[in-house]
Amino acid sequence: MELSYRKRAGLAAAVGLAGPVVTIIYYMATLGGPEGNSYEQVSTYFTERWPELVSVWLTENVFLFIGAVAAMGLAAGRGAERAAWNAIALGSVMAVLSNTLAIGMFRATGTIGEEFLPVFRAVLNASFFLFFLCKAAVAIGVAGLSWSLVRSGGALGKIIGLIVFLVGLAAFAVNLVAMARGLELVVPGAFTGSVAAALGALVAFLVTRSAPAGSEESA
Amino acid sequence: MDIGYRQRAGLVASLGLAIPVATTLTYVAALSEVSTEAYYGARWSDVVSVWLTEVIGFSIGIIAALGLASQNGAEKASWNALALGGLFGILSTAIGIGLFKGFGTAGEEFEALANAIVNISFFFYFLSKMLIGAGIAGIGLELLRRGGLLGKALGLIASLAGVAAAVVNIAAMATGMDLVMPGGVTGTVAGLMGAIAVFVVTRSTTADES
Repeated sequence: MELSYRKRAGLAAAVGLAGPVVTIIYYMATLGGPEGNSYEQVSTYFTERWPELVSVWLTENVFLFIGAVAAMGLAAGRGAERAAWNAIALGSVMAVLSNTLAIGMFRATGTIGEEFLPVFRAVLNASFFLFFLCKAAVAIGVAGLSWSLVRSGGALGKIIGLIVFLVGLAAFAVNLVAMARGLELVVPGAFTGSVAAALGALVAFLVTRSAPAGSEESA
Repeated sequence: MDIGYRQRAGLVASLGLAIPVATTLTYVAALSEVSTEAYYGARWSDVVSVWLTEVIGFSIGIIAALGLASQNGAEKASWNALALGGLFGILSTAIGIGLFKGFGTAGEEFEALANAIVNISFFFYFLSKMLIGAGIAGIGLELLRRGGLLGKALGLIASLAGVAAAVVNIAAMATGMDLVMPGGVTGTVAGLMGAIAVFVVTRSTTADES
C-alpha cells in the first residue's frame, strides 16, 4: 500500500476511534440517561431530550462510519495489522447498529405507555449487547495494533504500544463479560472501552506513520 | 500473500465455521426440549452462554475471512460471502440474546410481538446460512479445481453441501419458521464440511499465485 494513502487512512481511523469517545463524554456530561427506571422517568427523558439524544447518536454514527471505512481500507494493506483493522471495522459496524436501535426504537417503545416498559427494556438490552460487542471488537483490534507498534516502534512507541495493548485486553475482557451479564456492567464496559478507544486513536495515528510490520515496504 | 499468514488466517476461518456448528449441536442437544418457563428462567444463562460462544465464533470468522478476501486469486468473493454471512449470524444471535427474554416474558398480550422478534431473528439466521453456504460452495469449487484426489472429493462434497444450504435457506427466508429444521440442518452440514474445506484450501497458496 502506498504510504501517503496509509497516513491519510490512519488519520481517518484515529478520528473514527476518538470521535465516539468525545460523544460519549458529551453524553455523560449533558444527558446522562433517565433519572430512574420507572415509566415516568423513561418517557420524560426520551420526550424532552430527544433532539439532543438523536444529535449525539447521529454524530457518533458519522465518526463510526469514517472509522469503519478507513479501517477496511487499511485492512487491505499488507502486513500483520490486517486482522486488527478488520476487528475495528467490525466493532464500528456493531456500534452503528447499537445507535440505530436507539434512534429508531427507544422513543417509539419508551413513551407509548407503561405496559410497554418491558418491550423498551428488551430493546435497550439488545442495543447494549451490540454496544458491548462493539467495545470488545474495537478493544481487541486496538490491542492488535498496539502489538504492531511494540514490534515496529522506537523506545517510546514500544512503551505506548505495551500500555495500550494491556488496556485493550482489559477492555476486551470486561466487555465480553458484559455481553453475558447485560446492563449491570454498562459503566465498567463503557469506561474501559472508551479508554481503549481513546488510546487506540493515538496508536492508530502513530502506527500508520510508517509502513506496516511484516510488509515488504518495511523490510 | 505470505503463506504463513494465509495458513494462520485459514485456521481461524475454519474455527469460525466450526464453532457455530458446535454451538448449534450443543443447543439442540441441551436446550431444544426445555419448557418455556425454564428456558427464560433457570436455563437462560446456558442459552446466553451458547449464543455468546457463537457470536465469538462468528466474530473471529469474519475477521479472518476479511483478511483472506484481501489476497489475490479466485477465492475473494467466497471469503467476502463468508464474512457477510458471519455478520448476519451475529445479528441473529444478538437479537436472540438481547430481545427474546424481554419480549418472551412480558406477558400474554405481547406474544404476537415476541413471535415477530423470533421471526426477524430467524430471517437473519437464514440469510447468514445462505451466504455462508454460498461462500462454502465457492471454496469447495476451488478445492475441486486444485486439490489432489482426496481434496477433489472433499471439495465436491463441500460445494454440494454449500449449494444445498444456500437453496434451502433462500426458501426459508420466504416461508419463515416452517423451514427452521431443513435450513438449520443443511446450514450446519455445510458449516462442518466448509470448516474442513477452508482448512485444507488454505494449506497452499491461492490459484493465481501457485
